[in-house]
Amino acid sequence: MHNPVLSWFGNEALLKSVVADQSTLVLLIIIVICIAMLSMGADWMIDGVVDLAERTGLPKIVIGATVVSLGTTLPEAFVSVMAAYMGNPGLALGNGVGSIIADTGLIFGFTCVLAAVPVNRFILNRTGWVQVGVATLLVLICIGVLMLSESDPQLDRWVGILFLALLVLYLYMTYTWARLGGGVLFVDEVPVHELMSVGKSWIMIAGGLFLVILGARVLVPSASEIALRFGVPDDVIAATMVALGTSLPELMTAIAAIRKGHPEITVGNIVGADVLNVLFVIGAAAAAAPLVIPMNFYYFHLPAMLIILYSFRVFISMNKDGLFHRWQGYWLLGVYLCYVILQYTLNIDNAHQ
Amino acid sequence: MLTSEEHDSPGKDRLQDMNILIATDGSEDANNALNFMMRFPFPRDSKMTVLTVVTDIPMLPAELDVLDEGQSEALNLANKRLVEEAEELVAREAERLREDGWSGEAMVRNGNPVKEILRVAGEIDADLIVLGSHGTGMAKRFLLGSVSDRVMEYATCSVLIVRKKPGEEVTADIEHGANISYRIMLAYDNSDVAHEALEQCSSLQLENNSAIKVVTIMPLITAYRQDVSQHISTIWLQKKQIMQAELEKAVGSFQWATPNVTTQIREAKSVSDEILTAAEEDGSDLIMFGCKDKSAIKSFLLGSITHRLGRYAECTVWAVRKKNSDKL
Repeated sequence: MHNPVLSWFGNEALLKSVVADQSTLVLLIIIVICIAMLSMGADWMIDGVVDLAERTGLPKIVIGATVVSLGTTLPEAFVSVMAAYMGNPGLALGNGVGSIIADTGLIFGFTCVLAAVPVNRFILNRTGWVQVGVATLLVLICIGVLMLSESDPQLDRWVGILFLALLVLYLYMTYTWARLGGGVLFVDEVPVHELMSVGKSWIMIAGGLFLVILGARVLVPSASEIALRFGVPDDVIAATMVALGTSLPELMTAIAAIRKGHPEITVGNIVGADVLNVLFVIGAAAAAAPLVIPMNFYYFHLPAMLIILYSFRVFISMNKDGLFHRWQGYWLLGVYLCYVILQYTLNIDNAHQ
Repeated sequence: MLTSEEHDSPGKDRLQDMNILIATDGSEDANNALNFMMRFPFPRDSKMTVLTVVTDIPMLPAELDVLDEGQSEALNLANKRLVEEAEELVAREAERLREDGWSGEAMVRNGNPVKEILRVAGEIDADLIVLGSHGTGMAKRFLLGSVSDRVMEYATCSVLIVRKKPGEEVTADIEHGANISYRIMLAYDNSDVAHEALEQCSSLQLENNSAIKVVTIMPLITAYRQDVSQHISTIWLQKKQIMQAELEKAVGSFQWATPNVTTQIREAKSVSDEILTAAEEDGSDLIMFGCKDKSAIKSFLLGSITHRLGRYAECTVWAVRKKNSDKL
């Protein structure tokens, strides 16, 4: 391959060496550009797929339950699969777990502080339990493999395939719940907006996919390189910088929702994104390549995730008045900040490697 | 009896002595604005003040220094002529108002048009400033700014910008009280000031065949096609029903001069664009809306609906403000 861009794409060693030659500032800029590409690519792809799906007459409710929710998790999924392939299991797992922590701690905490968010029992009594359930399942499997395996604990392919199977089940359940919610009754009222041409839809999908793949492809080695230079482990970078970056779609929709005065949208998004981060992101990555679980997950990342998710769950049952309180937002934000600061200051990994 | 009647209809009460400031520059658009004013069913005993602002012929101080006596005399004369012409103009316009049965006063000021209009509005305690809109081109507007834009933005009272709809002929020949019907679009969002706009609109003595459409726009989030999820969310649907109920309740709480009052909930990405689309679809003559004042930084970051409607509407626009509302 003579084209340098194409050869970067295929050639692992070349990509790594090119990245290693860049200064730290350039690397940070590359990371920002990659994250922007991931987020923009996801936006384009969803646009294209939704339009194609609408053209086929697929009910909006199905599109909403599948395409839209999977689409916003696409950046995380691609980065993690790419990282698993490239032999950075810490990055793959860290990104999935980190995204849950960033979504619930930072983005939802932030939304709670800024706006009065209604507790949507319909969502929280269903998807909300799935959210806590799959996260707990992930932790239980991790503990299980630690106790049973003699070598390094790892998430094998079967775990990935199990998660992906659960994902299909979950998507079907979201569709059923959306119907129960009465959404289907009103679908006819929704004004039909102008659809793009079929050709344009495909260009959006292809262009979006290209951006997502390219962004993920370059982001992973750049993030590892930065991690190496700062002397922090891969998974710390993954669980903070990369996780926040790939959660950009959630962050941007949360900001738009507050701006437009509909913060309740964020609750559904965050809860759904958490489920998909386990089933889709970690599932796809583990199915792609077995993920070795670094020791620090057992005493740091996974407990942090559980603290955030369980306090979220407790808040739901506490809020009898139907609103999330501002202090609860501060609590979630506080836990998130402690999590980030502790990672860098304690330099958690080194003692155990 | 009178007192109880007044008590029943506070809106009409308030409109009885509206204090209206009409800014004119003698152009066709300003003339158009005056014609609109005379036809529009404002309360008959409203006080109207016609204002024109004269700006001195621009000279640099250095230029003034080198003028000889003859030249500076010519300059003074030219400036004086400007003032005289302006005085003639406002006297003529005020006379037209009086002939039509309004109380019309004339006023000439010297200085920056926007500042002077706002200052006079403050001095006479105006309820409403009326201006004609010059259809300035984009580039010119960007470079020079538009007087109507800035008055709309900085005024502390309501502002009415009269704009001729494309292809519309405005004639002043129609007698007051003649059968003119208006199609009014009122954007309502359940805020205090939107309620104020509703109240003001309901107190207009419109003809029977006028039509009023009260619209609430619910904003959609189109990034990552969140609107699809929004449509199927139960909370959104509940919210929509609540909005519809609130809209109907608000409209129902006033007595209307015309029976043709309809309500509508619309969903769209951009509130201001959707109001404009709705007005266009409906062939509205006038868009009324409550004007929420935002701080400079907020309106810079978020954009202001007032600003967009004032600029891009193809018909007359009435931004209702709570009088002397503080700009926070």
